[in-house]
Amino acid sequence: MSTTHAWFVPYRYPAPADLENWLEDHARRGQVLARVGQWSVFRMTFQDGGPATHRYVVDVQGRPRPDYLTTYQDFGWEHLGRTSNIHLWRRAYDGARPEAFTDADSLRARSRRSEIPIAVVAARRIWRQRDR
Amino acid sequence: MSETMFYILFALRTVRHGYGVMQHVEELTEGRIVLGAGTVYTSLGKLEADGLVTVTSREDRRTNYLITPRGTEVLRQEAQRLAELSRYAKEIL
Repeated sequence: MSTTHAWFVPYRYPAPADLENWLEDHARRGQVLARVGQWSVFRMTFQDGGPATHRYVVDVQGRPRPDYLTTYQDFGWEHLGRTSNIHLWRRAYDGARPEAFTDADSLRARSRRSEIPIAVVAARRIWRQRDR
Repeated sequence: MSETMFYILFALRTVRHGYGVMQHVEELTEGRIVLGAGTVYTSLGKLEADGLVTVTSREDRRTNYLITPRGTEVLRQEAQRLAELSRYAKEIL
């Protein structure tokens, strides 16, 4: 099975929803994200195959509790791995797109956890613009 | 208190792990509320930090939770508030 790579993806899509949509678009085009490791923040690997309907969830967790992985896995999510403090989850589906965050409070909490990585990326972009 | 938090606290009058909470809430609401994994995990963490639920055991990396006496009191107060709302709501139905 052939593979392709994409570089600096979390920097290009720092907002969780944007990264999820980008990964799901790749899956629809037959490029399925392989396991994620510490270097995936720089380089992500995709396996080329048939089009797939996958739901991805990006979840920033610094120090998750012991039941973090099992809670998601019980709900049918596959843990692709962790890069930096970003956990990536995937679930194949038919019909309605599954959601991991189903109420406003937990969505807000996820957004707050993502604020620091987004702020770092934004600061780097501003810094680069200044240098030009 | 949000509807999600109310139902999670209500479900934890019996010892349950995260997935068990979701199943019980789905059953109680006849499928109207299906909690996601991220919501259950986040909510349980917040409820535990607030002292409203406690960890009773950990087995196979699954954590079981139970409502605390403080959680029971908060749930009771919320139920009273909802009952009052319900009384007035009936007047316009």
